Amino acid sequence: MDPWEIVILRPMINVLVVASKYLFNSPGLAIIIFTILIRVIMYPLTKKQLLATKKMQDIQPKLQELQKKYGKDKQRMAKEQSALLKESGATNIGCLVTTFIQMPIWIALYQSITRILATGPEELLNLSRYLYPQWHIVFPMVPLNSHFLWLNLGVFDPLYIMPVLVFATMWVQQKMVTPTSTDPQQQAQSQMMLILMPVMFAFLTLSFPSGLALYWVVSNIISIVMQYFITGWGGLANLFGPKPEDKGKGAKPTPPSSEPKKLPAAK
Amino acid sequence: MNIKHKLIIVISGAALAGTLLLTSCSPLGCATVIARGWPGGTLDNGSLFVASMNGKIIAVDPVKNTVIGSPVQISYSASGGLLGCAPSSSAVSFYTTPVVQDVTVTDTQSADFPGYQMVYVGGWQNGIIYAYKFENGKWSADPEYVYPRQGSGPDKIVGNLTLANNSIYYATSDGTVYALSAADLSKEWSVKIDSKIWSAPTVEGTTLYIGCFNKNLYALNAADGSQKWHYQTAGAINSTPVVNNNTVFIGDYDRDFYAIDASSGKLIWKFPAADTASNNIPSNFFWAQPVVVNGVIYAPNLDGHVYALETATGKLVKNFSLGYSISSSPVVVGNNIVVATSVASYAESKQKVNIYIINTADNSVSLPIALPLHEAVNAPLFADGNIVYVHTYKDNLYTINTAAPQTQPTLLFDLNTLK
Repeated sequence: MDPWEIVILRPMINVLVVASKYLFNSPGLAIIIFTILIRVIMYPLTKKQLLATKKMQDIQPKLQELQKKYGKDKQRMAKEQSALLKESGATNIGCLVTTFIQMPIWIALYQSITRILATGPEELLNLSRYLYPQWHIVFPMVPLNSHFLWLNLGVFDPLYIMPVLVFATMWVQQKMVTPTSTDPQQQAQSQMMLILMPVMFAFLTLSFPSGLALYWVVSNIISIVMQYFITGWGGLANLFGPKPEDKGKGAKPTPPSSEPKKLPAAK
Repeated sequence: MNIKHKLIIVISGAALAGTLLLTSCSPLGCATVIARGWPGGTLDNGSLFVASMNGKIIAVDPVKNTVIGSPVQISYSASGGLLGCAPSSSAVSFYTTPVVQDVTVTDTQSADFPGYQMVYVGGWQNGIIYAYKFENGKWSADPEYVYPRQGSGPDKIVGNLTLANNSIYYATSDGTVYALSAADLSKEWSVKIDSKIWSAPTVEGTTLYIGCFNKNLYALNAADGSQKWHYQTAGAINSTPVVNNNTVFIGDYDRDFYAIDASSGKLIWKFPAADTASNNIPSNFFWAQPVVVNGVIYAPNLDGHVYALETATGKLVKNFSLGYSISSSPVVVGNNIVVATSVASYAESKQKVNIYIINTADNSVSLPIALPLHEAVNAPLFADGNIVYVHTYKDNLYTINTAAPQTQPTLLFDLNTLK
């Protein structure tokens, strides 16, 4: 076993199996509780990431104004953009760092779920390698009962409800963080990206075990709730009325894109 | 729209198209389970019958080490991906070892073998039992019989087929146990047990014994499938029971090994016992089928140990620590037991695979015989005299001469490429 398996994957798999035992022998409930737990633990990072995204959204009108003003002077444009980002505290790097920190956790959770839901002989044989011999409780649990609600968590959802849920929740979550733009080109681009990701994941849901789809749906719902309380409805507010209003705690209202604040003077 | 935006949209579109293709038209999209299978082989009337990982049944002359006739290729109709663009036909995977029945024909001219051989296998994906005729070194072009006659079986077949009393006994994963007539694969009876079944049935006299994932070992009447008794263990059962001297031996996923009275279904003994030393307690599943030699049962475990227990008392005779996982059922050759161990049984590469020979006369173990390509071995070992056949996960068939264990294993065939 490599260090990744010893340090991350193996503990996660065993905890998931034990959690299934105490959650009415239901790996479905274990996936839900485990996903919530992981999201709560990573809340500080998520909050940081969301606030950074929010700041980027807030300065979009100013960036567009800069584009109009200095679009032809690339050097000046870059300078002005840098000054604006510095002043607003918005940074793409912050987003990237938090995303990269979270990535291994998501990958491990993904791998753990696929392993505990072993349906084929080779997969079950493989799962046996990960169980802790000292944890007597895990052995009688295997193979896990893969039925949850209408789903067999080990195979894709034949009723296609999970792909629809994955699409819907991911679309809402993406819509909340997608910045509104007055630039029709950027708007079209944003709209396309808004559709692309949910469609891709919905198609993946058709091929992967529905236990993974369950994880995606739960994770998306948690993201939506967190985003609401940290940054408000974001781009979704436009759907409910002409004037977006943020209701989130500590969230600042998005300034109208047509009335940018005074730009900092260029040095 | 400027070039940059167009480029982003084109790349995004390509990514989406790629994902659709990947999820809908590729093996990744169509099968979430990687199922290569692990069939063993059967020696019958001077021919060796073995199945490959890519849906072929192959007859081999074990003396000349040549393939007899053109192998049979068995395929099934894949349902395809979301877009329905997957290949319509894919090779069946076999977890079942071919079983062979000699059929005597009175008007044949052959003096050596007056008849033909009927070879039976079960497909994993489609749950179909196939019976192919092998006569005068040639396979029938199509199966003589299949079961079910039309369509697919109710679920996948993992456990081996058992030929006894002119019947084929097997179970599908959905928990249905079947008895089919070996003559024409017509159904004699079927019984539904409320559990997944990957174990193979063992038939002894008029009783069929089979283990289930619901932690029960069942004894059924082989004539009609009615239940005689069942015994509940602590863990799921995947291993195939062994019957010896009116005792059924079975191991489970909870790492216990049981001896149960074959007539009454009462527990005789269980290993580990309360006084078993901690260093002799199994630490993983009992997966492969055990073997009995001279009043001792040798139970392989995925923890890399073979536990030798007295059949009468369950007392530990010896704990053979062979290092790596044992998922392949051992084979008995005279007084020797040949065991294959693998580091891991799933990944295809970087495997450390060793074959060991346990001498039951003095319970000594040979030096490890390493397979040259480090390929995992899950398929049951099988033997012809002193020659042991090893079918690896990469579909190579090796031979090991137990009379000369110092010699290197010989690669007989790459079954995957045979035509």
